[in-house]
Amino acid sequence: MIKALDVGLIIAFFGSYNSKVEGRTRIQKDICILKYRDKIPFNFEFESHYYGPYSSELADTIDTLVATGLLKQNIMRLSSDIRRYDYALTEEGKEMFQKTKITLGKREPTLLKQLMHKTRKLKQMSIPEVVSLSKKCSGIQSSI
Amino acid sequence: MSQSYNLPDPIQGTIELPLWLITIKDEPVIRRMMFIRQLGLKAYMDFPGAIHTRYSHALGTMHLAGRMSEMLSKKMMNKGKHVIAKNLDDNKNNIMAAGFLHDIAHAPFSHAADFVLKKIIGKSHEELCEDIINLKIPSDIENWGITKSSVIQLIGPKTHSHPFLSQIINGPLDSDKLDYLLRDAYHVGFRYSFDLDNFLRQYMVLGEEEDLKHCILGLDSTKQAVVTAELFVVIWKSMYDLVYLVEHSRIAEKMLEKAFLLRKEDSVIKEMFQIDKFVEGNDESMLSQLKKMGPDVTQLLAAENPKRLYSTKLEIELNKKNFKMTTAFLAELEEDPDELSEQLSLRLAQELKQERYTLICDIVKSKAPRKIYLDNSNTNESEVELSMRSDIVSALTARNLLKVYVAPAALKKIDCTNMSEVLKKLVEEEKGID
Repeated sequence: MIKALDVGLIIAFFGSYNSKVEGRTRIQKDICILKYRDKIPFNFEFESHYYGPYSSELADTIDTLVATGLLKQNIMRLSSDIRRYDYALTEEGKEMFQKTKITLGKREPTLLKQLMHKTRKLKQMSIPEVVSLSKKCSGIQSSI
Repeated sequence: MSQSYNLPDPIQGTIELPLWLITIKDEPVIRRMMFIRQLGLKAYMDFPGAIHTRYSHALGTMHLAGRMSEMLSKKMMNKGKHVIAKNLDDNKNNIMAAGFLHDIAHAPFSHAADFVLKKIIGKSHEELCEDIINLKIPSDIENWGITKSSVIQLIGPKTHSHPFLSQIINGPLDSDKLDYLLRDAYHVGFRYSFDLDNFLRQYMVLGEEEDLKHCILGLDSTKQAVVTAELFVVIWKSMYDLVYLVEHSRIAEKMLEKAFLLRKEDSVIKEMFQIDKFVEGNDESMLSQLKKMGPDVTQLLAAENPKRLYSTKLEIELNKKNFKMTTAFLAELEEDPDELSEQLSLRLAQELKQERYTLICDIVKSKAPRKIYLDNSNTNESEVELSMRSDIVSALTARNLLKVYVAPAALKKIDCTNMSEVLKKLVEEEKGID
């Protein structure tokens, strides 16, 4: 069940990246690691999937944040027939991040600090690294 | 030897009834589907041709599910994936039974009563489906190698141990969608043409057969598969825009929902949603029951008299430019838009000093298509899904509209110019973490 805290934490995740997040896979695996390894209390249910841990609730929430204008989705053409979806906070999203930082910072200062710190660390990892780590720390494997 | 039946069908051609179906087809819980229109109130409001029923869709889904299992089994066998092929063969009857029974718990007027069902008995129609299969489908069906627990698992929504099997019934490329899109289009009068045989030939099971629990239903990665899937997604999108979310029907459905909610504490209504009565109910019986419940309820039955139909007085996109949404509002928008619409309806009527349900708020969510995965075994990409390969599919994004419908009698009494300001206040009041 998605709660207000999940939305706040997702906004803080994108805010902590402080730049675009490249690819939907990246979002799925980063949030999975934050949930299972770093114990950030996301409610998104992750399932075992062909490509490793995957949460349809998280994917739908991202769609809703795009639809409501808090996230912008940019389609990058990587080759003639492959596109990648990048995401970043819009101006309205950044405004919400600032508000979330204040509110969450007052209520759960350690949680906010940890989320921001861990997210920045994850940002430095490559995609194969986060894919592998997400499988390891969630115990959710994949076929490939 | 038992008699077998072949039935003509406008969408699937000839449907051969399997022997296990012949043993249960005359049960009242099955025949009830013949008296529930597939498109509910849409047949009364916008599409008089749409008089097809849940029953014909159930047969079509069963038939397609069987064909998909067979075609996939042959294809996987040719690829040397014998374990996957055997799994499909062994489960064919279960898959077909799941296709036939997947909508068994739909209330009369279909989706219009889904929210009511949840409010009155606290169950979704998927949860009720499990109860009906366990309690009302004769156990004789299990003499044909079908197990009720497998059928329930295949219908979902819980994850099946072998997802590629349940995705034949409930997934981005499922037999349910393929049948209802083509069947509904045909009956509303849209001549959409789609080469089903060609599409099914592009299906495959992705993943390694040593690891069946991670295998999923997907498509070949050929140009032909991508273009055919694009056509499927375009038909899906146009059916949502032109049929499933079409305005008059949508308003009539929301009005019907409120008619139930007005009497949700009434013992007759409560009983109607208890399993024994529920499996006897159909469109006609439900409507005639509601008509007896007083003028406030009757006023909400637009199918009876379209002059009662509410008018759309506000339509505004739910985004940050129009509303300062809180995290709580956004979470509720994602989790339960029907409940959020209900709360907004009640509070807006209160703010504007109107009777309950004189105004109806409705959040209309148009979703992006679900992810359709393509075979990536011949590429360097770790994950390939249709929207990464298609400009058409990547252009389809989710959108949320907030609409307010107003009763004819209240139109002159309500200051509609003030409405959006009041709604803004209500949306921004939702207590979030911010």
